[in-house]
Amino acid sequence: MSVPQIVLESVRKRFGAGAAAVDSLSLSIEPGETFALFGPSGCGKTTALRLIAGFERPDDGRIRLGGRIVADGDVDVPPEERRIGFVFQDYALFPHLTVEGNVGFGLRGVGSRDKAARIGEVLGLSRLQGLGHRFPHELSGGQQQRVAVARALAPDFPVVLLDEPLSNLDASLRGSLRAELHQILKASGKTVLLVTHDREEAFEMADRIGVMSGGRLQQVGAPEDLHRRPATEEVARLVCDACFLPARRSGHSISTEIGAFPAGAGAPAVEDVILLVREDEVSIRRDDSGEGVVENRVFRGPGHVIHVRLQSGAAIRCRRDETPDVAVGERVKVRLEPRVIVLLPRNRGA
Amino acid sequence: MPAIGKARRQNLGGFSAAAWLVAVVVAAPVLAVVWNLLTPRWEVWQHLAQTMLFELVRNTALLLLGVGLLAGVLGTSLAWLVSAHRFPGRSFFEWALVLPMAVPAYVIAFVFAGLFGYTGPVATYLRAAFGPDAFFPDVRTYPGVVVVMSLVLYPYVYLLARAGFASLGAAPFEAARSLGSRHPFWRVGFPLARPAIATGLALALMETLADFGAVSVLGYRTFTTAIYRVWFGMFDRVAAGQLAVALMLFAVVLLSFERWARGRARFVQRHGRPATEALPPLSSARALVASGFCGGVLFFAFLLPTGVLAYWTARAAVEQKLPPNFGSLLTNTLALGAAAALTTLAAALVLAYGQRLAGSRSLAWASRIAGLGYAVPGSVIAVGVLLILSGADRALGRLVERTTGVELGLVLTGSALGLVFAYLVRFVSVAFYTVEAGLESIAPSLDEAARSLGATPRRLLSRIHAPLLKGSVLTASILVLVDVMKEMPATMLIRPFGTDTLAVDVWQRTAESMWREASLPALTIVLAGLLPVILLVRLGRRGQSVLPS
Amino acid sequence: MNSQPLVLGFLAALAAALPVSSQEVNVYSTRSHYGSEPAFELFTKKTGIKVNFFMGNNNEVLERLRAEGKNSPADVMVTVDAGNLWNAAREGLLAPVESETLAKNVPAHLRDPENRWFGLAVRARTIMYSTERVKPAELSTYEGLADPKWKGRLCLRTSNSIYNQSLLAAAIERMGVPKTEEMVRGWVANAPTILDGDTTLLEAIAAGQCDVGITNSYYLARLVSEKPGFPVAPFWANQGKGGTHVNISGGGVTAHAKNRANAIRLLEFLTSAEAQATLAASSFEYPVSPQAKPHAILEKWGAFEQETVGVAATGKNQAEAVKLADRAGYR
Repeated sequence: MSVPQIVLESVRKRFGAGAAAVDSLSLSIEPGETFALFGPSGCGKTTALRLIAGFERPDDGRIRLGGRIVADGDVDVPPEERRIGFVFQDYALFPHLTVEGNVGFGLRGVGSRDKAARIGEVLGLSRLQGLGHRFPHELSGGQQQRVAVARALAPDFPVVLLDEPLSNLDASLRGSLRAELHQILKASGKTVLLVTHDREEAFEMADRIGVMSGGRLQQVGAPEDLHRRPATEEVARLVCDACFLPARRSGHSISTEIGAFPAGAGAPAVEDVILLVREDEVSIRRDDSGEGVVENRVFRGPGHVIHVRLQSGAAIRCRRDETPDVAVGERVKVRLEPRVIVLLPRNRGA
Repeated sequence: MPAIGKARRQNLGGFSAAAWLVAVVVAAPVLAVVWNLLTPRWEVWQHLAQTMLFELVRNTALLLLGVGLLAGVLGTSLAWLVSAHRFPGRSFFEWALVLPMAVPAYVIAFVFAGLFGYTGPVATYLRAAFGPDAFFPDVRTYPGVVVVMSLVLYPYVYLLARAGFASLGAAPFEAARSLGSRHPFWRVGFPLARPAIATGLALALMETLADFGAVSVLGYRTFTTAIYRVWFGMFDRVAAGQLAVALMLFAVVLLSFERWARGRARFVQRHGRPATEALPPLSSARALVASGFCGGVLFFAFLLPTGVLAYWTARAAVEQKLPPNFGSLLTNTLALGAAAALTTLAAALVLAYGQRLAGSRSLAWASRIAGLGYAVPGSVIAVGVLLILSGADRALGRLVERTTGVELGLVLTGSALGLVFAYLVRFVSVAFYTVEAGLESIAPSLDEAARSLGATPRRLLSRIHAPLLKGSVLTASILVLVDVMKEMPATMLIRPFGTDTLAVDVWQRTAESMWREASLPALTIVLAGLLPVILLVRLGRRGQSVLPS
Repeated sequence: MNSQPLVLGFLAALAAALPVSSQEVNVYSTRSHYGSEPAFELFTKKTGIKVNFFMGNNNEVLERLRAEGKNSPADVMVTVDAGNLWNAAREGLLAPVESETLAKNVPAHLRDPENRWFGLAVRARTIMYSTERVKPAELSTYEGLADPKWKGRLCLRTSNSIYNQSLLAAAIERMGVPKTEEMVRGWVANAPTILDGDTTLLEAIAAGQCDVGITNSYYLARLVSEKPGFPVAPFWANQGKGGTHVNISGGGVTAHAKNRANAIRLLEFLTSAEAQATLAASSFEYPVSPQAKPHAILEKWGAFEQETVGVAATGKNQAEAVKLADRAGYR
């Protein structure tokens, strides 16, 4: 059985007198795995990353790398000894060194010929050949990003951490660079932990995703699992394109405003639940006696997303490839055809 | 694994202590002078109150007001012209208008006194042309002092105001125009650049307060001249020290005004189209006026004094009145300047790194205290330094005598060390602000990147910080070197046995009305002063924030 | 023939030819760059003692000596105003010297009653007038310049100048505070142009900015030597009414001198007839020693009655003089 590469045990970090940035965070990442910490800004994911890298010290808990304790109450291994590659959100390229100088910075104790060879190799992998003598300010945003990644990979550390690696790029570039980045990281075989607030990025690049909110891990799992079975409302909000409908459970079925459905296995044991309503599972049809009124039509190719307001005030969205023939203000009948029933406990006070 | 955490924390503690040590060292002379306050000198203060105290306060306040207004208006208007309009020679004037900064106030004062005095060439000519009662511009009056000092101090305001306007770019002005505003300066430019202008003004006024040479030559009585009068006329060093405290109170008021006027604004770097494209072009008549205005200021503030000095030097060379010790003057000045530059640089680095590593909260005070030295006049610092050093020498002498029986003699007083100490107190803030700005431009993520790649703190400093700080370190060294070259009051009082600097030589000769003999050293000081001006201009071109923020 | 005298002679010659062991004397001097060097060079040539200078203005030298205290390397203090010497002596910075030579060379009113300092050269501070616009008959005393007829025609050097402070201090000694204050108030009432240098003042008189003023004699002598025909001449004030105010360039041996013997030798040499001519002539001052003759220009101006109020008084009353000037509004 291989030793997990990154382990966090109940790690806590607080800044100042406010709430903890990271609260009882426990995580275990396998060697060679690509793991994404995903969540909205301020959820603590970047702090967690920095704790692992050694730029911050945890108040409580323990961090292990490759089985070795690097941070706990007594121990605090400095970043330069943790053998972790880090890609910064602003790239943090050394402005006074060329691309070669940057990439080769972490290669120590290596003969100059080996060093040059390794730099060449990494530049080739990152499609930066011929740019070795340029300075960072002479490169485009995308090129700078690749240099940052190459620099982190060159020393051949077992772990690579990435802090929102693509967020500084134009949206149009992001897609192609994302694929490229994914390929480079996979080819390197390293354990990768990346932090992002971009859902597509997390889905595309990660083997497993950890959804964070308020400093805590809400759920960990493979992308499909999270999408299919979000464990909490937060996760659902972040991961799925969905709305929520309050529902009542009685026995093996639940009843909602727009119909009754079987409760399904694994339903929460309470009466008051929330039903996850995915946009693409809703269909509407004009009907003067319908439960809902169309509030808005927004084009999202190839079809529209129709916003519908129900009697109770709840809002539903309907997205289809073919736009139903309804106009704003018209009454519609709403029908839900869920593939999988997902029920969440209703824990809101409001 | 060894426990690394404690070691890291200790390191930070060491830095913190070192930074506080620097602050204490810098504050010591000022404290020594303030200590004087404890000895009552009612008689002297009574005399002062009856005779000239009111005049001193009034004169000092009026001088600050006058110079503040004139230098402020000059600096701001010139900066506005150059930043937002196009006119012939604009790109030349943009940097040339900074040149007067190279001329120390006491130099332009004696040049103008020689030029425009009753017996000078201008007045003589006017009398020859228009008769013995012809009007001539007498520079030894209140307006004269204000004009003379404003001519060489406006560049502080100009530089900062220009940086302020330039950083705004075209956008705010275009927005204002689209909203119908016809006075973009008053509604947009001035309010937005106000913090920069306030800082520049504060610097200029600080220099005004500290000045001793110019006001003496021009016969204008301020607290500074009164300090000397009480000290040496009435043989009362204690009362003079108390007057010095009063002078420092003015400085404190100035600093507070600067903080208030600056508000909570910070310098913001904006990119985009330059402000010169935002306003409608000037009519050719107006453009000529603009060029003329810039040219006129440049002429009186720099070209005329430098030209006159060059002419007097040439005449002195012909009449063989050049100072024979010029070579040693130059060497002394450079050597002292270099020593001072090294010392202040070391102190500045300690302060800047302390702030960066140990968190700015606690050390902000240390830096602020260290920075006050700039506001304290050189003569006051000199007294404080003398007090401390002679006390230290006596204590040291007693100690050595007691343990070894050897009579030590003077070690500190009268050594170059004392002078370098005084320079440190006076100029560490210059080095600090420069180095701090340079350090701030090294984002913390660079530090972290280097460490994640295996760099120890030492490697971080040598491979990352050192190359990136090279520019700031060089700039700081040059700024301190030139400031030392120009410094006169403190150097006069505590320089080593027989070591004169260029500035001291200039002062001694002008005190004896030996203008011609003073011209070569004065010219050298001005030429040296061009160096930091060139630096500042180049830095300004690269869009970096230049003076303290 | 006995070779002993030959050997001794040879050894003596050898000894004389050997470089003199580093005998030196350290002088803190406030005399400006011009004027002092030749006399001191003469001293070194004659005695082989090297003279080291620290030049400064009055303020610095005093401050320096004070701060250095017991550890000061200074052996001799030379300054251009008796006030400073008086002050230095009062603070114990100068030590008494018992020397017959000095007592003989320097008249009593030109040295410290307690022999802590001695005059080396004399300067007069007297009324200077425009030869083109003023007749000597119109002048008499310093107090006379308070006469309203001089309104708008008077130039004075600033009261910050130690020379004017000494002038007033001597006047206080001679007439008392109230009369001196009356005189100064009278000057001020004549709206004098206040200038910051004696040379500037003399040139102002020549150019017509004013008609009379008060300066030191050597400034005029210097100007006259450079520009013969310079239209300003000295008027010896207060002849028969106390005498023209004089002051000295003087020196004293410091209290903690390490080379005391050399210091005394230096002073004795500087006051000897041999050195006096050089010393005084190069700076256009009057010699202290009655035996020596002054520069030709000074000789032409003729003899005058010197103020007999001892120059020591100038130091004693200096602080009071400054306060008086403040009260009278004399800037």
